[in-house]
Amino acid sequence: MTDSVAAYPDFLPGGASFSCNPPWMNAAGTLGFLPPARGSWESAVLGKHCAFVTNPISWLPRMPAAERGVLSFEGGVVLHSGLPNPGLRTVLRRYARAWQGAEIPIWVHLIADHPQEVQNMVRRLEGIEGVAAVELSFAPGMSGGLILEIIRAAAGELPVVAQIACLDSHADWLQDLQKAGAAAICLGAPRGELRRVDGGWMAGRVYGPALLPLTIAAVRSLKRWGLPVIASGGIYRREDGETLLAAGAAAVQLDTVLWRGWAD
Amino acid sequence: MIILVSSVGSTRNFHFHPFLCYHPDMAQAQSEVLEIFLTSGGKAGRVSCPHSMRPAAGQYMLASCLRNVGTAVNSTASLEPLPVPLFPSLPACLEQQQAELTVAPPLPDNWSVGTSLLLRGPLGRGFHLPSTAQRVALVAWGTCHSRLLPLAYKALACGASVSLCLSNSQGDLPVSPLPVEVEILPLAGLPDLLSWAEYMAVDLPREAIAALRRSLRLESGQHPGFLLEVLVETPMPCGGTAECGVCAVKTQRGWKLACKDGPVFDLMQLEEF
Repeated sequence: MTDSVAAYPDFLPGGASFSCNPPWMNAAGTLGFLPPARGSWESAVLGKHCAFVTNPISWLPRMPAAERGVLSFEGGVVLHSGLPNPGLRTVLRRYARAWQGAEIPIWVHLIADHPQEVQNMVRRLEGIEGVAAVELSFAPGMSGGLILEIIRAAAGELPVVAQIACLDSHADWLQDLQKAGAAAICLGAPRGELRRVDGGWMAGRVYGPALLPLTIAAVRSLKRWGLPVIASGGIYRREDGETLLAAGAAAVQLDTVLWRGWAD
Repeated sequence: MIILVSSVGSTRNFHFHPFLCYHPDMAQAQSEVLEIFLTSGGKAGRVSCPHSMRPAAGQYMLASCLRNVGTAVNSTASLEPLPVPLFPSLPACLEQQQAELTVAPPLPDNWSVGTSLLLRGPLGRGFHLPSTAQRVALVAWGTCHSRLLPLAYKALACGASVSLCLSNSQGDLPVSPLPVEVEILPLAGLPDLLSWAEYMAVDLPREAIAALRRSLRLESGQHPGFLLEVLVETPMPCGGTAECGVCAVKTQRGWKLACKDGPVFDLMQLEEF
């Protein structure tokens, strides 16, 4: 038997639980703030899924990055947007009611900069029906100590899913994730840089088929910490996702395949 | 419901085409590359496309490569992770077949005749050519002029005079065919067009908005006295699906997304960022 979703029918972090069955969902930043409507393009590509993950949300509004853009390389792209969003207060005003009536659990993705700020955001989410988990992403270069501190601050009624890049899957501090209160680990797009035509450099998130072997390796490495691992990166065919489940992922998150559709 | 539309004949003389399935509820269709040709802006081409999905001038479709010719069925090695925006470069009446779309450059290098595609669209907001405009100025600012061609034909069909300003940076490659009625001007002639035009459409990169204003001497917020629309050239990776913000454009009404609110904007509404 493979270490697939059957091994993780539910996550049970400190009393809170959520299901990962069927083991498919979208990655943060790929489908906006609301689950796709039935019959829509996005819904058709996503298929049956266990949760909807919102776009990344910060405490205060974030503007688009000045040097936003996309650069391509053989095997993928580097995408830089600055993760613009209207801030948690506005997001809740616009979408909280729809989350309450959603047919599937909502995972709210928070941009985690500071423990107190994250704690404030999580506490505001705890009372909202329909929100099943919070997923946290951390600024590039943030220390493991600070990440653990933020997770401890976020731990409460809602399961906390910690997003790390596949290239960080060997970091020592990951062994303390569970103790800090994380319910699961989620892989996010790694950071990369490419040179623009004007000679400058653009840093951003890396997406593309070339990531699949890195994602598989990260899943197999991260399993040792005893937390469910949600895989993401390099999935452009259904078989890619099945391979990651066979490698031990509890679920897979789809990223830019939701914009382009499945490859044959 | 799936409606099959022929790419090789009219609806009266129906032919089944395995690569062209139109899903009316989702505005998506399978398609294939029918022809590739080289223009000043790079690779352009012709793809099969249901007539009802055809983008208007300035609108676009997103195309994803399902499989390239000569690659294994299960290979994703040569696939773009993001969909490619396709802009029309001919009006529907000039297409060789009704269910075809001639698209502006650039197309991905690895696309070739027979590449199978998934199309989604039409998307975005296109040009708004006033029916009363009799003097129409088009400006291709450092880019190929192909995306402006459907507008040129539309203006000519309305009896308007059309001038096209071309940048000098378009190289020596063959340009897309232009109607003989269109007057060609160098970019240096742009300020003169301000006193002539009754409508102007500019195709330019997002970063060049300030330079366009300087060139038109409209830096201080003066109004040109007619509608001046800009087709903003920017990556639009999600096509509005995620509101990812890569194509964000700052306007007087706040941040707008080129993929949904554009990619055509009124220049007077745009701010630099």
